[in-house]
Amino acid sequence: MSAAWQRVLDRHADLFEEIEEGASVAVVPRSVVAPVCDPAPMLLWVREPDGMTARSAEFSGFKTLASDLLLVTNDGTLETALSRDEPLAEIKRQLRAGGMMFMVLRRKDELRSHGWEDFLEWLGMPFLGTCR
Amino acid sequence: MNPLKTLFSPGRLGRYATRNLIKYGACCVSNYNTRDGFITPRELARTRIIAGTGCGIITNQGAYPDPKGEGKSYFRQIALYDDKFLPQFETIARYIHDAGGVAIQQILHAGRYGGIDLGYCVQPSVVPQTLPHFRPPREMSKDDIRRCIGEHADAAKRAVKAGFDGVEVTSFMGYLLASFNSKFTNQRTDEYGGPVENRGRFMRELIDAVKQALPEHPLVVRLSGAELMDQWGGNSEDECFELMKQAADAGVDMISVTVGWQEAPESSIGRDIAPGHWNYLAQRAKQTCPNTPIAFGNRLPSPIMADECIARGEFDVWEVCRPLLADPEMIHKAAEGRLDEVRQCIGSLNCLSRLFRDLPYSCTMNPALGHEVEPEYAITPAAVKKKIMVIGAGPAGMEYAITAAKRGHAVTVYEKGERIGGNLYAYASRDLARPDDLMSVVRHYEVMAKKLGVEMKFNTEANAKFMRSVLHQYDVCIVASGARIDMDAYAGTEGRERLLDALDVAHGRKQAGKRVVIIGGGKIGLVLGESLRKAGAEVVIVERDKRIGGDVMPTFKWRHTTWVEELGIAVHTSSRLKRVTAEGALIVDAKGKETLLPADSVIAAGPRKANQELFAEFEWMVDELHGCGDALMPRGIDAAIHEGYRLGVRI
Repeated sequence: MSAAWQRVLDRHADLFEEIEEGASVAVVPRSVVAPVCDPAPMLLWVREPDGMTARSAEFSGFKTLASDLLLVTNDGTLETALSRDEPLAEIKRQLRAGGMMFMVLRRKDELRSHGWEDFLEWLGMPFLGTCR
Repeated sequence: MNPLKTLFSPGRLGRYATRNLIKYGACCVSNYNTRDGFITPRELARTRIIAGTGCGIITNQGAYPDPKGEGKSYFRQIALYDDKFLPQFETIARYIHDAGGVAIQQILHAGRYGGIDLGYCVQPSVVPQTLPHFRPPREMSKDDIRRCIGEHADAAKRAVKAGFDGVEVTSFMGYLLASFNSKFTNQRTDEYGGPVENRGRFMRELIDAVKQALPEHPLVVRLSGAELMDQWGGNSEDECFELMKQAADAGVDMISVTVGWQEAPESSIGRDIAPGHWNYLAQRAKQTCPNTPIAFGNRLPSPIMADECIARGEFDVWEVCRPLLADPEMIHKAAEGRLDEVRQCIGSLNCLSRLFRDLPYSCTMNPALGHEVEPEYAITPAAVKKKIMVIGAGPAGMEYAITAAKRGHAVTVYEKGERIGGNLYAYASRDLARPDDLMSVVRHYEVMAKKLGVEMKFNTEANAKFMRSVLHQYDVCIVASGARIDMDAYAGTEGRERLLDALDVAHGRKQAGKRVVIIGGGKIGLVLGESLRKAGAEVVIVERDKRIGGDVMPTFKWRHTTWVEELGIAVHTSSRLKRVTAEGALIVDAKGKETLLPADSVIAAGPRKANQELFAEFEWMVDELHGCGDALMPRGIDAAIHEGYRLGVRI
């Protein structure tokens, strides 16, 4: 799984150019999302010196998570995204369709300084609040 | 004769008779007040206009009830946690009563969207935000809940003390009570969490506390008919209506039905939603709570439709806010059979875009909104009546023309095209969201130009020769000639003669082929690309910037990016046009990589350039020469209308 996502992240390297080193997105199934939980596997996209890296990690709840963002997935939606030609575009669609959801674990100014603003806007998330 | 008999029938809210079935809804706060919650003269002046809209019930904008500011959602929101705030509330209650309305004060604890001055917000459970704008959550304890209920009851008593007839509490949009109602944010295991009966407990206790505090005064509750959060684990519509029944059983005097949370992933109030789309929720509320008056107004901007719905018994009271921000005279115009004169709300959500930038709200269609306290923004008879020529019948020129005509000037508009609207006409006719909303601006100018006697001269291009032919006939010339695509920007581009101008295509003067490359991913390129794609063309958009939609209203940017995705429009960002050939467009990205995009038509949709040449040509030919709108600098409809108006009230 990590290797396949690594290929996706590499293909979209330009999307993550602004991300500060060490900043990350945790990708976690909805069933385990809680402030504190028993350790469960998660996928981590973390910015390293050479670019965005996908790797496996352990999720013990968002209370202690160092990531900036939590991408919450429904059963099968991550696998479905990976099977598509453009997995990140599929994530964008799933965010609109409710198959996935972003949770924000840092303040707006922290997210901005970590370089996430453009990426979130690209995903269709208004960086500032909105009534639609 | 008033054609809307039902809407203008007398009604009742609790023990108060209302003169019609229209409620001014406190749809959003103005951000006109002080940072510490005091109402300003600017707010009072605006509210006096709102009080005079003719609504039977007027709801004053939401005040936060707690001294800490956990309930405060906007930088300059008003507060009601202490008697020190009362003098201005007394003034507002008096304005409403003087105008014949029933005065309701909304109490707004924003919960998940609150704590704007704090580093946190309060919620039933710690559920992280889905939008970066809002504060990190803290869980409320039972003591917090009890204190919060007390603060609401105290604020309600304070409102009545100030002269209001009743209060409204907010259990919608993701605000505090709504976050308890919803299983998306309420994951408590105590008596305030779990089944819907428990989740609604906080709301019921709060309703009960306010009713006990003010048994003689009506209490309105705003509730979601649909959260639009169900796909993220929020309440279903069935659960929303179960909560509505709880509120009715708890004894509220009116339920105001609303739609959607602020963070909901789909549209609820934007112009991509058809008027009447959500009416079924109001009908269901009426069926669920037949003995409680139901107010409704989401995406229901038309008094005619509201009249028909009420006549059919679908709901009881039309709740309206943004259309009255756009035209505070709308109710009076409706009563007098002058609906054709109404300036419609076009659903641009400029108002909300500004609030989320912590700015005071303004309205695209009403340049005077928020400036009522400034005499400079009032339309007053001109001291010297002048003969005025306006170059251009786009929004800037027409807004200027009708404003000047209202002041007594004799106005003639010269337009090189054959109709009113300028580039807005082309833009509106290609809008995927709701062409009728934008086209209403054009219709408004057509109607008002006729009624005000503005002389329209179409198919007349203004230039130095033309100006010489009308020399000394006018005292003032207003250049509102708009903007164009700057084709000179492609001077060094090989094959530039093959480029089409986006405005020529948008206006139908030139036809695009089946395979189209659009250079420029701003609003012109996007709207044109979307419409061509919808008509069956293959469309690719090329944008120099890193992202498309740079000049799009913030609350609508997501809509374009979604349409681009849904319609299958390919986008190349950080790229520029290098060459146009018979085969298509050769583009080059930031790393120097070249790509040939096959195309029958390559269309330049940017950059834009102001049509300023007339300023130099006319400088010595007329007494006063002024400009407004895109002719000064290319921007959009908002700047065009506002500048046209500001110039109109001044010259």
